[in-house]
Amino acid sequence: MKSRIQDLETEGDGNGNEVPSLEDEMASGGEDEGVDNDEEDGEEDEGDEDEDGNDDDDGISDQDEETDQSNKRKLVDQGGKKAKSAKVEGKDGGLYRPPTMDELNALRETQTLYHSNLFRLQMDEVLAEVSMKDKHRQQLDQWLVQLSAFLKSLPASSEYQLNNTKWMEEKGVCNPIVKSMPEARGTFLFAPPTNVEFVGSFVSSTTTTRNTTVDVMITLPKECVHAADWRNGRWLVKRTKYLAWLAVDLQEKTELVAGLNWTTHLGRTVRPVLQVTPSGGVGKKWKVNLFPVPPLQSFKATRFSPERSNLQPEWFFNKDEFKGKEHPPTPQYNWACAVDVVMPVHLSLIHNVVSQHLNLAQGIKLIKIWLSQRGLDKGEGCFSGHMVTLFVIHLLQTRKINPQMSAYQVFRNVVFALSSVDWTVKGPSMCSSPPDDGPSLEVIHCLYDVVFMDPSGVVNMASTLISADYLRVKHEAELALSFLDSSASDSFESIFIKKVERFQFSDQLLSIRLQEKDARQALEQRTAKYQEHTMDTMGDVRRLVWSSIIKTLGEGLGDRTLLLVPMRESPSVWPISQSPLKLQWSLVVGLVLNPTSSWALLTKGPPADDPEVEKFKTFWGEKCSLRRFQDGSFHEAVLWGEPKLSMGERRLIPGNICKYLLNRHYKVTEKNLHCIDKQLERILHHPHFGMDYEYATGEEATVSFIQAYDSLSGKLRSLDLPLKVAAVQSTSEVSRHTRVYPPLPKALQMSGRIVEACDDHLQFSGLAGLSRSFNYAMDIIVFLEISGKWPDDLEAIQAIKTEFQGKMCDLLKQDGVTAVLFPKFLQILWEGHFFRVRVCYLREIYLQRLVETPEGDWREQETRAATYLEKQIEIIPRYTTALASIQADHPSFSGGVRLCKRWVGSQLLLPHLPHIAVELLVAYLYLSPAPYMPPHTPHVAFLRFLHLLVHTDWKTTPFLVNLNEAFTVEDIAELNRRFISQRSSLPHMFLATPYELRAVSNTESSADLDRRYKLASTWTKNSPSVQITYRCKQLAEAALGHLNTTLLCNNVNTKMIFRPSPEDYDVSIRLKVKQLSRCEESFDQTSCTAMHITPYECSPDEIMPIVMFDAAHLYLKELRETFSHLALFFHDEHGGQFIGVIWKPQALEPQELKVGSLEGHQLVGVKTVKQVPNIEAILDDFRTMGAGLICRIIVKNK
Amino acid sequence: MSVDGVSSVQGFKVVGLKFKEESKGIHQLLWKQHSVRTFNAAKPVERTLFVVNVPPYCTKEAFKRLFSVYGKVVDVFFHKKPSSGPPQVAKYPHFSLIPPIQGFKVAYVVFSHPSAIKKTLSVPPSTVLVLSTKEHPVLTGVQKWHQEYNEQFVKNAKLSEEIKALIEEYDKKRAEERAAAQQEPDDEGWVTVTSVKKKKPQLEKVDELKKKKKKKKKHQLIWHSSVRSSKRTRRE
Repeated sequence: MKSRIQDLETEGDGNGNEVPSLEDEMASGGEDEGVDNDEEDGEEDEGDEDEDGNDDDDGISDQDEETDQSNKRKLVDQGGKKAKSAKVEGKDGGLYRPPTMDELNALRETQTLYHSNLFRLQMDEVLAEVSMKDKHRQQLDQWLVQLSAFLKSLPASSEYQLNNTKWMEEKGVCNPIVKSMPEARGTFLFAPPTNVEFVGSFVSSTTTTRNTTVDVMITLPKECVHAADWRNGRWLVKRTKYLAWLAVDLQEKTELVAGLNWTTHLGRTVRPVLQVTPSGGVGKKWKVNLFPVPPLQSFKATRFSPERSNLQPEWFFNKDEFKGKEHPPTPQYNWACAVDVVMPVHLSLIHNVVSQHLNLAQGIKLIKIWLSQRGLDKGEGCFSGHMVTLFVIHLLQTRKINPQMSAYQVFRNVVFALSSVDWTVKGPSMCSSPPDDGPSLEVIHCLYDVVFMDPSGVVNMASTLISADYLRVKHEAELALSFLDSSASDSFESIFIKKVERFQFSDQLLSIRLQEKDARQALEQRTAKYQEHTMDTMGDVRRLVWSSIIKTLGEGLGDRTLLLVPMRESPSVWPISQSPLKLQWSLVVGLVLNPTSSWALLTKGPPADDPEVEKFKTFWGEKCSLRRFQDGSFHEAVLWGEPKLSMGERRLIPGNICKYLLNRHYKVTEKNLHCIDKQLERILHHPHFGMDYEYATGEEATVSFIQAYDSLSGKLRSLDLPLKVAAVQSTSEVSRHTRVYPPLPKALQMSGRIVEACDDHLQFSGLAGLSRSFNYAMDIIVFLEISGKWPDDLEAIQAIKTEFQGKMCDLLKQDGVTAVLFPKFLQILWEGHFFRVRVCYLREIYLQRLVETPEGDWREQETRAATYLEKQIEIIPRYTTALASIQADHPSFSGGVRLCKRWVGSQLLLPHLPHIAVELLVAYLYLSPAPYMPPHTPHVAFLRFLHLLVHTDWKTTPFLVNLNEAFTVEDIAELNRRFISQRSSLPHMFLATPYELRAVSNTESSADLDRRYKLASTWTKNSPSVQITYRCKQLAEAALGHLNTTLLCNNVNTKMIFRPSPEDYDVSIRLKVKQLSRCEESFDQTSCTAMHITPYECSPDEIMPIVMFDAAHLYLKELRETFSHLALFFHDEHGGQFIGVIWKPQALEPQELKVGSLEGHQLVGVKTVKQVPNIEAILDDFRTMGAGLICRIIVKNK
Repeated sequence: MSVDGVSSVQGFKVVGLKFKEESKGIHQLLWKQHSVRTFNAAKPVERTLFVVNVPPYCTKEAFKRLFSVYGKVVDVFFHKKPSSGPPQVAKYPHFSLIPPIQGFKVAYVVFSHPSAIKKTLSVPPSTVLVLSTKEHPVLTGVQKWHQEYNEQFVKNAKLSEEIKALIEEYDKKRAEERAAAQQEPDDEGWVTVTSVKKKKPQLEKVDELKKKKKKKKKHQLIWHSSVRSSKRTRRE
């Protein structure tokens, strides 16, 4: 589906850009208040365009003229001059013929009724795709005629006892009703149905392929139903028996029926439904659910009014103690019966309203697609399609929607209505005149969690939902509205195309397995009317348990979470010959966290003298204590950790709260509770000890490094240099919070066989030995105040820069700072961290760009050196600040991006997928999180990153990472245009940020525009290639698959996805662990875990240790420089123990001899000499070049 | 594997090269006499041997030693691509912008006497040269990287000397240029125009242009809103 839509996008883009502001105005003002207003707004907006002295005061006619004008404009834009020339020829040749009346109308409609042109095209396409095919429709119609004829021809039976199930078991049909329901008294007799017809979505043509069942209503004859069947579950048993009877007869009718299954209505076990698979082709796509309903007038609908009691406790519990007591209301039971009673009424209502208005039906389909992409349309606690249809009718009746509205407007208004009204507090009611003796809405709200009353005023359509279910729908509605209102062009995709995965939706997950006995016990203690509820639900109290658990968790977590989402297993369908599956007493709860308060250390309770204290104390038990607060007040409070707690530990607080509460109130033991919060983050842990804080996931180490940088930058500014320091900027990963293992200020390692002291620094002694420490240095660039005295010779500039660095070095040394001057930079040891300072001169970029022409003139052109410099000193600093600001807004960014980088690194892909590309992709997930909220934990950011790698078609998708929202509208349009027109010459992974765009003086000239967009996607220019992205995709797919299947297991092994497999490579070069400076970053390196590191302490005689020396990195660099024309090299920079080599397949073929590019080839052949790579010599070169570092080379046999 | 079959191709002599005695892999060096039309004193045609497919770890010293068996070697030049002139030599090595050579390269071996060339061209077909010997090892791998790391350190005095020399030279050049530009007309009013290098053009200041544009935009905006407000009042 996706690809087709993307095709459309490219097609429709030209039109989409020209949509005048008018319709945006219409779209955002799509609520019911006055169309007139909109028109005036539109007029105002367009005002500046009709400057040609239009003095018309009448707003409306003005408006009309406007639209005509813009229509014309559009046509001219589209057809251009060719439209005219076609006219001259007087032939209506295909593409350029004048538009027909229909097209003009459609154009006009689009302008006023839809979000945008593109949106409309996408919408039409999606609707066409999900709608039921006419062929299937006809086949089903015919099939129903046959079924109806067959059913009506069945012979009537004699009377059976209701509790007699022998007859069905003899025929191999199992009783689908719940075991906990007591036996119903009464008799049952079968008689052929009086009526068999389609109901629901099939009638209103709102069926979508997302839910491939259609409903059929079977009306029972009068003789089947007794007047007192409303009582004590008799109707529920009777309808089941009737279905079972049909099942017995249908299973022999193979020419009509291909399969028979039991399922449940909306996940309610008391309402089994017979699911029939029609024979023939149509049955492969569509299933039919059979619903028996009582004949009209056999029950009064008000009989099942929510507050009524229709069950006798003495029957249900089979005990006499309940006799004589007042019977409690049975809202759930009443709903289960009344749904059948009102079905014919709803049918006629839907038929009358929806089938007349195609737009409404289309709108309903859109809502269904939207719900189904979020997994909210099926199973227990779903927002059923029937409910959607009724709600649309409700909005129509209350004039929130009018029949002339487009499908898009219907969708928008429904979503708006869902987001603005809380059904758990004041639900809507379709009943215009409630029966006099009926319950008030307040009473109904006491009986149900969520309320939406049907036209009869008796049936609560939302009775199967618990509060959390509705809040999820409301949350999604709010999100959908924000996507629609945002300027992002892909709002359609976010709403209708992208599937919301449950693991990626919630920041943390809680998997709870309950023991039925414990749960019932806990419920009995916590709920006053436990027994009534048990009876009401016929013993299946799980719904109540979920509701109660979520309420408890919600109370305990308070404002730490925005949303608690219950996720139940998908609805069960089982063959008629089998008994129903055992009820599952497990639930997965998704937590959507509130980033501002979710990591708070303290849960603050009421003041000490408040009457609420008792309640708070019983809720929290021994955990709570009385604490004094800074303002002098005393409150009860629960403390979850010491103030020094690391970010990584803090992220576990919500999970700990849930664990504690579930254990306290529901006796859920550690074994049965699984919290998904730290499993993946564990990879970021680093075995350092002896620090005054826990290293945990490293956020604190990053911050401490940045603080050191800040104080050094202050120091540099204060130096008395000939030119003042104007700016100090960092270009390091650490400042972007994206270095996977940020270094700690640790004690310097001064001794060792391989090093020796020399003046003010350590250097290598030339002896072989252990090389086990890696000191990372942060790159800093310094700009000096502007001066006209800089030379304009490049070499002289280098010398001046070094001179400045030397001055700095001298001044720092005077203050006792350890610093060493190198020709290219100044290296400083400051507060235990290392820094490399480079003085920069902005004009150097320009000078690098000047190339001397043969005439002795100077010409400006792109040179590699200039671009490199521009990237280093202009783009990266700005980009570093932008990413740091994302971190400020989203505290989980650092963890997320580092987790992703660690994964990419561990799969040996970092040499090919540049660091910055990974950072930008993750930044994109934070800036454009649709269809979700932005991630609030590293874990979910990582899952979404994997998902992105798996599901992105790089060839057709440009990624515009709108850092700081610095893209202008023109930039986005131009980049998209360039992406399409120049696709083949642009990088395969197209990742553009606003900071790569150059400032140009004239945006009209194409040369200047080229200059502006020249560096777009500069980071991914050379790699990754198509092959590498494909490899990424495969690896991500495997990782995601592994996580999706095992994440909910207790013993999930997340390290597995971080282990590369050496088998995939043609050659694998094993490295000596002893020579790997960064080996401590490898998590499988057990010998490193015991390493004890003491904090840094400044001493007067310290000298500069070995900094930034990583033999493996140097080796990889040399290999890539020498053999990149023959092979690809893969390595994990975090202490990876092998380098993988893949020969380029085309390079291995014998090629024409070219003496100029022999480079490692050898000559073969006698008559015609060709060249092939000299593999044996090259393997020997691997050994030679890595002497001392490699231990062996393994060549895969082919 | 030995270098069998092909012993010469396209005028090139094919000779084997291995890193050390016990190495199994053998690279093929191709060499012939240097031949270009342009004369260059550094690479006299009759005494220079042109070698291609030289592995990256080959150093000047190793090559000098390797070829001294055919005659006295005066100099060895490495290039990435064939070139007639000598390689650019950085006068101030620490501030040079000349990129280092990476990967496989070509070499020019200059002998002191033309007879050495003949010798090199008449070596037996299956000759295999050995680059690194016990007496004269060629550093690679960890040892080489250690050495490179140590070489990064330069004595401060040496560095400032180099800076001083470089700046002095630059100043001198500038002064000459200026003098050339300001030549007085001679007695007859003529000015000798030598091929003076043109000055590098100044950078166009985009920032200022942008500022101007912004101002203009602002102006327009005010105008837009005034139109709108005037309309509103009219309607009322």
